[in-house]
Amino acid sequence: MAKEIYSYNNKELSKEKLDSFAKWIFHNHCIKLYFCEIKGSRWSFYAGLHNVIASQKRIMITKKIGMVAEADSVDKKTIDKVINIIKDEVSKIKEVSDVQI
Amino acid sequence: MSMTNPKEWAEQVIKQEEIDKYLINGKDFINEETILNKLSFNHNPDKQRVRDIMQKSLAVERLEPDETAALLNVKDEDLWQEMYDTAYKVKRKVYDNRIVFFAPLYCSNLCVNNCVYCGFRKDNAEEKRRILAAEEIKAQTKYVIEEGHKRMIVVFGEHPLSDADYMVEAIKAIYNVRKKSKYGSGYGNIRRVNINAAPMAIRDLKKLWEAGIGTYQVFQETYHHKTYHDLHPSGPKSNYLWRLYALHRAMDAGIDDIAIGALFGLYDWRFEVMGLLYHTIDLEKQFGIGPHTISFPRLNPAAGSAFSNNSQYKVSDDDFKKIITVLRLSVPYTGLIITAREKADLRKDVIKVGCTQTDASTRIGIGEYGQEAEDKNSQQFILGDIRSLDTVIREFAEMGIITSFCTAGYRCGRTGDRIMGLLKNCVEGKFCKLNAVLTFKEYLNDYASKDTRKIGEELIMKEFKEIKETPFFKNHNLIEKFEEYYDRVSNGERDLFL
Ligand code: SF4
Repeated sequence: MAKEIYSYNNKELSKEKLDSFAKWIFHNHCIKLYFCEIKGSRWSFYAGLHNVIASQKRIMITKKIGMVAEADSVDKKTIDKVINIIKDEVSKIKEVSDVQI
Repeated sequence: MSMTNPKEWAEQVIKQEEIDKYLINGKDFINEETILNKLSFNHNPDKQRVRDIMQKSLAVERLEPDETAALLNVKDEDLWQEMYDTAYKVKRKVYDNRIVFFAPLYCSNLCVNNCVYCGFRKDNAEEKRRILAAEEIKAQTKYVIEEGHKRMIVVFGEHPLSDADYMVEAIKAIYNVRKKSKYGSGYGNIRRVNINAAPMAIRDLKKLWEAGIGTYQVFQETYHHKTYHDLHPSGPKSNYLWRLYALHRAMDAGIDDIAIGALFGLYDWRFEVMGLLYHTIDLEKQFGIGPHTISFPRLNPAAGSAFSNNSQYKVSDDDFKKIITVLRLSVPYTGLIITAREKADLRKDVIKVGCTQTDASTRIGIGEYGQEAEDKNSQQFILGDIRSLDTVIREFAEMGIITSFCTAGYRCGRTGDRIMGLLKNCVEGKFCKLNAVLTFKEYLNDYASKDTRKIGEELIMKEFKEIKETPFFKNHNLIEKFEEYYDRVSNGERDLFL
């Protein structure tokens, strides 16, 4: 079966989780970000903060999900830390809501 | 696996349940009586009311049907001039002074339908039928890239041999082509593939979505039910509602960049503008997002179609300008596409009242890129402007319009409702300015003639000055990053965007 970041039935659940996760990252690490689903060369907004103005960092988390962040002035160590937290969190979402990643 | 018997295939295209689910109380959103009533009720609007409506457009708010009907009824030419000026201001406010270029690629002229105005229709014996194989699509794409294009709209007739699986292969083939640029040591490629194709079932649309489609475009042709039925006598396209809800299904399949349009000249143009507005409103109501772009091609002569020459509803150049103006004012945040169907002078004139996208170096015969002459017998209609991309870009640059090859939005999540939000708040236009400069610089270095490069560089200098003086860029610390990217692009790096 083709891998998807969500199955159409539980789309809402994973969106909500990623939304609140983006808020958590902002409060704790001052990085504004949102998540995209990747389809070929298209990155489509999926969840996260809507007030990200400059899309300065574009990072692929898995083959199907990417992160876009306004974080140019944030040091690399913090960025790496956040990416690791995201990867960890994304895998938890898979466990909790049966989202395929 | 596709069925190859076109008749059998055509009979199974329509899924009634994928129409019914969008009807409200069993009815579609085009209520002809309501439209005609609004057009007649709002006749002869007073000047102040029209000016108030224009203020609403300037505030980047979508108009209500009564307001659009009022604009369509303006008779006073001085007031029209005010409307042209306001449309220009709205365009500058939302999209700034940029224009996005694309190239169409016609992959197949096999079609199971019989639209009476179209050269590709099934019963047109004059038409030479052809469908491009993947290798031919790649070869055609190379020609398009050699002109400097980064964005394509790929067009397909409705036929089992050009079904969704074929489209997916075409999309993949195009994204895989890389071609060394004309000058310098870089390469060119297509960064966004849009599709113009027949309405499909949600299952097929999901295939396009998975393949990374840019925008999915379906024109209703005419919103007037009876005219629609008269002009589309057979094939799946004879089903008005299947077509009317094509983009609703696309939304349900996950495709959030969709494009609507009408073929002006089939029925009364004022009615069609109202139809486009109601289409926008219904999409906004049902999905929270309107169309990414609106197209308004005019009926052009087509080989083998007497109707295309004789329609009583043909739109004059003056009325064409009015159509674009009213659309710009009615849906201020939506892109408007004018194509090379139109003659160069007219395009130059109407671009000012609000168009955001256009094509150039256009060939619409199947496999025609790379060839000099047009074979009018293998085209859907006849083009008005076949000038090169370089020539058109230079002309626009002389008018102060910057060409953008930006495809950033699509590749960093500025799509669907997010891009609509940014457009409504006039933020997206700002990004586009930065990305337009970066991609224009790429074009000037990689593909432009000496004359175009000269005028283009002058325009870039002006843009730089404006960018540095714009508080938005300062407040978001974007200038330094932009300058860094600009230097890197000037030194040969490609595809950098903000
Ligand atoms: S307009 Fe489209 S559907 Fe109709 S005959 Fe032409 S190609 Fe076929």
